[in-house]
Amino acid sequence: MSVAQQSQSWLRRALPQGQRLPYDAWQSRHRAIVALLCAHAVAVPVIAVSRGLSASHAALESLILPVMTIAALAPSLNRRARTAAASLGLLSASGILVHLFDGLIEMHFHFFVMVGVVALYQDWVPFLTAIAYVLLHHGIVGVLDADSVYNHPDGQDHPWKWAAIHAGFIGAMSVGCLVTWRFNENTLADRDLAETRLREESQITDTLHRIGQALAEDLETQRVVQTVTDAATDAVAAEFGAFFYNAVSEAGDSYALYALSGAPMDAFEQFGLPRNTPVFGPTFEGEAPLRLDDVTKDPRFGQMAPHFGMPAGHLPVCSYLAVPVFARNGDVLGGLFFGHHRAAQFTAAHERIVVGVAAQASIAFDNARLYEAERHARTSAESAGARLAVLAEASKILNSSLEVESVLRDLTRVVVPAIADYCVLDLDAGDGSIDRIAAAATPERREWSTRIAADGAQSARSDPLAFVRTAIPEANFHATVELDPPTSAIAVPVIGREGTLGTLWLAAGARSRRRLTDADAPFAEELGRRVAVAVGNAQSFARQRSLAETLQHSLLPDRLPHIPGIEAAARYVAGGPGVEVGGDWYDVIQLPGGRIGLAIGDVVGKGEKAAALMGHLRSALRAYGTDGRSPAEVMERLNELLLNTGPDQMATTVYAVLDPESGLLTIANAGHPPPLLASPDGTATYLDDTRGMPIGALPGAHYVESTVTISPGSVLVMYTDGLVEDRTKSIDVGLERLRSAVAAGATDLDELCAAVLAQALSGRETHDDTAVLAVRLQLLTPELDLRIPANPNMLGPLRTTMRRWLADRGASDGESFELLVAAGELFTNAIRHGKGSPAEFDVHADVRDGVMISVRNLGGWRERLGEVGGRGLGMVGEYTDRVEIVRGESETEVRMYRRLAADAAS
Amino acid sequence: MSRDIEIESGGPVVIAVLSGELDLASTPAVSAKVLDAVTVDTAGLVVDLSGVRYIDSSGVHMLFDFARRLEAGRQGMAIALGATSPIRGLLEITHISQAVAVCSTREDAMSSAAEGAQRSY
Repeated sequence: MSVAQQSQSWLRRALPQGQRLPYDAWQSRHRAIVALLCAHAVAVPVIAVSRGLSASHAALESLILPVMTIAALAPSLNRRARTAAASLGLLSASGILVHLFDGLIEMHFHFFVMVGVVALYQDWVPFLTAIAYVLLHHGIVGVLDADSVYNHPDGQDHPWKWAAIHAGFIGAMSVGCLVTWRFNENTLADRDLAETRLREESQITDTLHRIGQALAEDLETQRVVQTVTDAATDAVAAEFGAFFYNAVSEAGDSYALYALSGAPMDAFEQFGLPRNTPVFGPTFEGEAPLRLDDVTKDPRFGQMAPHFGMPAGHLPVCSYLAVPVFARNGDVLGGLFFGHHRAAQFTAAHERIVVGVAAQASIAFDNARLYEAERHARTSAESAGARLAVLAEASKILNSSLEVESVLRDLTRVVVPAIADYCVLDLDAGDGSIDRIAAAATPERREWSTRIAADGAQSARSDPLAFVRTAIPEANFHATVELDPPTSAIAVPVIGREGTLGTLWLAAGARSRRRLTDADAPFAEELGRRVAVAVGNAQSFARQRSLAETLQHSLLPDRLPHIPGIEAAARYVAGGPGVEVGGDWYDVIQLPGGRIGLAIGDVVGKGEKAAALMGHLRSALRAYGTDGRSPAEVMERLNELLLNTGPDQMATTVYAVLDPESGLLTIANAGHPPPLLASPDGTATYLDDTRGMPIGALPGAHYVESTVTISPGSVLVMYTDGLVEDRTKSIDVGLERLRSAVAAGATDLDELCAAVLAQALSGRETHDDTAVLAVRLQLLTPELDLRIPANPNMLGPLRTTMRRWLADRGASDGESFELLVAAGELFTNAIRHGKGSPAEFDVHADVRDGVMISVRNLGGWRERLGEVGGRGLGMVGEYTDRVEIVRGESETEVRMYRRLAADAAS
Repeated sequence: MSRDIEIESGGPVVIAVLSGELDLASTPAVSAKVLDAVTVDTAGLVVDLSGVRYIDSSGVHMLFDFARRLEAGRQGMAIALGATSPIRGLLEITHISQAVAVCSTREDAMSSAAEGAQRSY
């Protein structure tokens, strides 16, 4: 560096910076100085007059003072001109005073005082004005009138020499002032600097605080990175900023762009991954922050092929700032990079902000990484939890019902999509083929079941994935497979006690991106085990159930006995899916004397045992009833029987005896829901006068009978509790529902039974087994038509019916007897010689010519009526008015006529 | 039907008290029971039809059968039947009353049956 340069720089440092006073500071100082000038403008003329000058001369001499005062106050002039005017005014006052005192040397002191005053302006102008004024004034006036300037001879002889000396003093004084001023200025500058620094510092702190807060609230790495990048980009006023993650690959130079701020992500996407250039790379090695006013002028820039600098289309970067981000363990996580297309945009303060942000970011990143690690751990735990939940749910479903297929279908729906995207359950059908019991698939959770060849599934067990891809025959499933191709699969055998029952397949589809791995095998195996247990249970239940069902059906009446004059219908519905067979039964028994025994009962308990007990009770009741025991007696006997059969065996029963002739119904009820009697007039009432203990409950229990006379056409409905009991509703609701159903019931009893069952059981998932029995005492019209099976047991009830009919027609007891004897011969003949399968005969009765009773049957007519050599025919002839025999092609009709005494009387 | 018959076989005369209805369905069992009760030691048989409401040709045939068998065994037989029973008419129509004594009371029938047996000897 040259001497000139050195002194120049010394001068630059030594001299004041010339920073002008703030305007208000200048103004107050200027005001004081102008006031001083005003005082001189007044005082100087006064002094002039006192020195003996005329007023006019004095005014002229000091004219410059008011002129300068006015100039110093003139608002049109700028600050510097006014400064100069005020300074010139005060120096002029000094000059005038020197004149007035004839160059008195002490008057020259006034100059120095004034220089001191104008130094307040802290400006070059007053100093230069003062030096120039003293030099010119002393020089020029000293030449023209030396006495008025100098009062010593040398001055008077050499006015310019002394003018220079005086100006020199003024200059020295100015320098003194300047030095003082410079010191002041330095002090002020230091303070300003401190203030600025403080302000900056607080700004940085503030920024960092804000970023820190934002980061502390966020544990998502991507968002943390974005927050950091955004905040830093904002804080350093960069055009754009980016965070690159130090994901050094095996190739050595790949940095993943993680976040970008100030520019859309696609501004960089086209460039691929940034590379380890001499400018870019060092940041990732953890080197000190790199701040460049113009990156393109950096010697390291543009050294690397192929782009030699930034690739074409890159956002323009001139100002460049890069700061590494460290992890807590010292590893470089990545770097924050900022750019601006103008040069020198980033300051040291910016750098410090970014360094601070980077420090905070590293904490946040660490937190986020920890959090993610923990969350990952939690997700694994959750997924383990989800599996447990699925297993629990699966067990619940598997135990919910014993209907295998529906249960397994439900199961596949639980597994899909919680665990897998495909779930297929195949069970060996036992005949070399496979029942695809259930299958489900996402996304539509399709379900299907089908039957496939066994070898296809067998060979597929070795390659489950290929199996799921190809071996599913249904077209819609193919569509699903194409939509979401399975990418991984697990197959586990379903092994029961008696060997392999089938296969459970799980597969993951491409869409869900999940993978089924060996880690999923234990889950699949556990699921398979549970399925095996459920299938085993269901199979053994199905065996048991079918046994019990067979037993029950074999014990229930095959069909109700055909009893002339009585209509009867019954239905038995086994319990819903998964409900064990119960012990419901009903019976219609022909009793001596044409009476009818009606029974219904329900053995407490389920399964084979209940069904067997039911059979036992039914036989016993039938025996007691047939023996002619009254309902109460029958109940008491059944009670003792049950108590003697074994402990804890109970049943509820209603047993009623109907005498069709009188319509008298005698009922005993052992804890059973009351029978319902529907009259032809549409009213229906429950016969619940008496209800005793269930049979088998109490030794020596007595039962009370109630009686009711029912009119022909009435329907008696007996049922088991399955018909009226719904777990979700009160039994009263069921009873009322049944009552209205029966009251509005169909005329056909089979239809009536079907209707009340349908109404009671519809919409119920499960129900107990249910029996219903409906019996009607037939209303006998004057024209009676009966079709009677060719069975001797039909004779009793048929006579009873005919007896009713004859009584209705007004026949006396004697007439009735004789007609029944005569008709009985016809009936017996038809039974003995009737043909057809089943053999049956039609009885017709009407009131033509008194009463006419005809019997028509397939086959020929035996002329010799009856067995005993015409004894039967004789009886018919004896008791009737006439007999007609009408022979058809294949059938014969015998008609007998008789006038009644009542007809003759009327 | 078993209920329709009660047999008293304590004395020399077997008394079969029938009730209900005697028809094709019930007579075989009744017949078997009665014939079971009648042994070689039996002096006679009384068939009490007082409680019978109805009888058809198979019942009549059964009575004839009893009469034939007892006669072959030199045993007496009588029928007890209420005086107003409609069955009386039937027994007359079928001429069974010509072969078997029809008495109004069981006591009469018993003595008639015992007599018949003695008469046979």
